[in-house]
Amino acid sequence: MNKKTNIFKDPYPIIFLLFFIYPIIPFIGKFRTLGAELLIWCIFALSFNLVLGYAGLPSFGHGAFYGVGTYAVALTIMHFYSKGVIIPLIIAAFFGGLFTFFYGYLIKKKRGIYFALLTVAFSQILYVIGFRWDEVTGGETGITSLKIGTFLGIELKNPLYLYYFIFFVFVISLIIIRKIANSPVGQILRALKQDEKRAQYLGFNTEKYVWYIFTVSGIFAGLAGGLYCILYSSAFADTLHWVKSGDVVMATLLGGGLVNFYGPIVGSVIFIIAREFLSAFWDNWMLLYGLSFVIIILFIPTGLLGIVENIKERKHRDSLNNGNNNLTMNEKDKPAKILTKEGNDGPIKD
Amino acid sequence: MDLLRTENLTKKFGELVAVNNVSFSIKEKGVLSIIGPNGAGKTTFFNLLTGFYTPTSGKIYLRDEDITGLPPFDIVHKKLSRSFQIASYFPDFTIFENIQMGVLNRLGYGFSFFSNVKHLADVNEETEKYINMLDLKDMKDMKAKFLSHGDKKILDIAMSLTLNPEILLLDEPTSGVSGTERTKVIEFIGNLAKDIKIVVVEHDMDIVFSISDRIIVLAQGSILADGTVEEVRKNKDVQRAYLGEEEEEEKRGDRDAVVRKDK
Repeated sequence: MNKKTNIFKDPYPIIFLLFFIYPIIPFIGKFRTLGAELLIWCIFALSFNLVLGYAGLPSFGHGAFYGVGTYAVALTIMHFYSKGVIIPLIIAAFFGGLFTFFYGYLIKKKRGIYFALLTVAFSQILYVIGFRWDEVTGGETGITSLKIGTFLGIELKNPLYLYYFIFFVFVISLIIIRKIANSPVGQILRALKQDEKRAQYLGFNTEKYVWYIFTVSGIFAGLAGGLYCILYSSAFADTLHWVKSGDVVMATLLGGGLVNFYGPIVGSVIFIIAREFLSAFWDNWMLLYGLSFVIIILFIPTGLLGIVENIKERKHRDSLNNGNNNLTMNEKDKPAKILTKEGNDGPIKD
Repeated sequence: MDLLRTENLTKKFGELVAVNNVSFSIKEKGVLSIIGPNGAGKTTFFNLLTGFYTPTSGKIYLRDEDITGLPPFDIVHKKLSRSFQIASYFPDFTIFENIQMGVLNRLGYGFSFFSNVKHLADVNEETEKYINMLDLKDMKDMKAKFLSHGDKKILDIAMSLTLNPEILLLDEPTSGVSGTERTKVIEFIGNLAKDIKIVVVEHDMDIVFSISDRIIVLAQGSILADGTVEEVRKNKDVQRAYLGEEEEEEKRGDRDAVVRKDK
């Protein structure tokens, strides 16, 4: 396999490069905060996709753990430590993980609609707490005008420095999440999504995997939320609202997270661009965004990168149909021969 | 020591007694068939043995160890595996990945978060071994969903084998499999039985009589007969309760054939 195909199969170096040069890209490069927010979204959506796309668990209240991270950083900076950003971020990741660890334990047996509703319900509980508990969360007005500390002595007031700091966290996060996705655990998650009973009969305690991956994604959701707080020097109850959870589900599905590791990045880019640029022309941009979501999911249920996967699958089938060996195939799939040796296509490709 | 033993195993679903006071034990290798009319409790019995259901009462011992109430993922680690009536596999995985799953578990990579699943030399080597053993070499990169029905059945059984079971429970391994493929599946089972204990639920009496060393007949959740092929064949109760039906059906079938011919 040559390097070129490798990069198309797993284009993370291209993604790193694009985001690295983002600030010098004409026109959009000026919107540094926007770029930074996009990076945060990518961290959030990529980690969320371990739960939704890999394990197939409809966690529709994931924004809650993002919100927990936001408040964790805000409260840490306000009350305990404001010199640097690393400690508040570690605390954010810790609390994101702590919440998902305990809540994941409670719901690890639930599947489908029950899992979805329990996650939504939890996010609403946290939202009400964030919205009403004025003394701690600032209630409706939230926590604003935080003094953001430094990173290795670098002042993060400069949007460019802040952008590169968030880029740095993004690079580390993507590497870790990608590692997990390509690990045996990633493969086991994809298996339990397809047939949980079969996975159990191969000796996997599937509930444990659900619990662990929910926790891992909570850690990154907390981290992403923490970064959001640093980016805007504030924390609002909005981040806990189910709308936030809905946004990440939509972005992940739209991009093709169900079938491709990088789907959430594509979805996040579309979401952020739609939000920023469509809204500049029309206040009701959500209408267009929602409509395009409906159309895409109706025609390509696996999302935009699903197109790529569909082409690959067609090629795979064609290669089966072209040959002729003694395999007996389903009515649809005539006698076959395998020509491709690179295979190993699962439901999710990287 | 018995390989597997049950004591007064009972499973009730509300008023319905699906498995009623079943006590049996199995030793060594070979093929044990469990037969019985539809609804006799055969699949429920399998589900009890493998931990999918918890028995209402009674005990299950695997090599004298009490495994009653253990979940499936613990039981398969104790070298008791099963296949399914409807072939169970991961459709979007390649054959290689399907086989690899059990190997990953057995070699202790179940909670490996950071190693690349494609670069585990020992796992790949072991997976290849099964692939070669099953003669799936040419198909290993094919997605499992594109396999024929018979090959799916074999894949299902092969996946269970990757955990190195001493006892393998096969739930209707030839159901829905036709003609030559059927012979392929039966041969495959016959070969397996040389090394491990096979317990099979099967409806096709020709297959049962040709592969079994011992047959247990279940009817309405209870053991009606237990013995060698000849013993079971001669058993009057069995003839009435089960084989009789088959023969009647056969006669009816013959009659239909005559009718068709007449037309």
